[in-house]
Amino acid sequence: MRTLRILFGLLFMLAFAPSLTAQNDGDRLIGVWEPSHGKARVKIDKIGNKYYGRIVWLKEPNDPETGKPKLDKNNPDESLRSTPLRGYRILKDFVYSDEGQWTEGTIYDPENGSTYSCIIKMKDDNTLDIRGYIGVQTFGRTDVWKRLALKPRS
Amino acid sequence: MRLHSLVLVSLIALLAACQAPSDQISFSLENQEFVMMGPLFSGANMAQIEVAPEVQSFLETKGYQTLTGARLTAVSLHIADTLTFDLCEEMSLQAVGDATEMQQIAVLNPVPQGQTDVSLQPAAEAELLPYFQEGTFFLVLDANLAGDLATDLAIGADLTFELSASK
Repeated sequence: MRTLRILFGLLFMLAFAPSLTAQNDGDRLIGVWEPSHGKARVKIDKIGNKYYGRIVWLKEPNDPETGKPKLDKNNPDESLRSTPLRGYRILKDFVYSDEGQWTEGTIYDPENGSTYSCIIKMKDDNTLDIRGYIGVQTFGRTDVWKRLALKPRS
Repeated sequence: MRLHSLVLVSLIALLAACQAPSDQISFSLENQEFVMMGPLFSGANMAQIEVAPEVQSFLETKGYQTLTGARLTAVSLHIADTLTFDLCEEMSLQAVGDATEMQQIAVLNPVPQGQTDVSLQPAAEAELLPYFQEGTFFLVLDANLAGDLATDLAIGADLTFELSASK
């Protein structure tokens, strides 16, 4: 009976180990990242099974015209233009798809109020290629983001 | 070309005529609670709740069969008597489902000081039908905090939706 239990336990582990590993691999994206322009820092978190990134720091937090904190003044929905950029969720709905890639997400550009399809590739533990595109990946632009608190290389 | 346009317009009019008319019904989600787990640090913080509104049974009790649209019309937030919203600089509310993308549905900036009850401004263009069709979805409350807080921050919420439904 005991042997049977151990056997079932092992089978259970074998069956679910790959999905658990995939989940943990996906969580490598969680952390604070800095785009190449260095004007902002984005914290990536997980909600449900998807990943989201919020602006947590701005080099110039205030709008030079108003002297007040920058707002999402280009939001296509006028009723939401009072939303502050600090705390704004610009990366949305990313799903870990395997091999260091997160897909199905979008990236929002507050400079023009546009949302683009986006794919994230992890080059190494501390470097991301973030590619925003319209329609097909060919028509897009890639930016390199660096992890803020660098992890020691393994 | 003109004939094509005429046929197209006629078809659209016919389809519109065939569609059952929708009525607007108010639906509330009350006594929800967002908890930001402490310790909390100044800057961007969030709390999420999972909701499973029983919309279909609600509509059936009102004599409706099909949900055709949903909009958020009011969000009121309240905080424990011992605290005010002074710590929160701005707040926004998002909806997200497993199969439905995240969408911002309300905002409040700035948060009025000295208050224990505040109302968020609902997004004018946010269509929430896909979330209700999913059945279960998440509401995510984002808040920029002005300072640190050693404890949890619990915020109660009452939400009101305008549902469009047909018989």
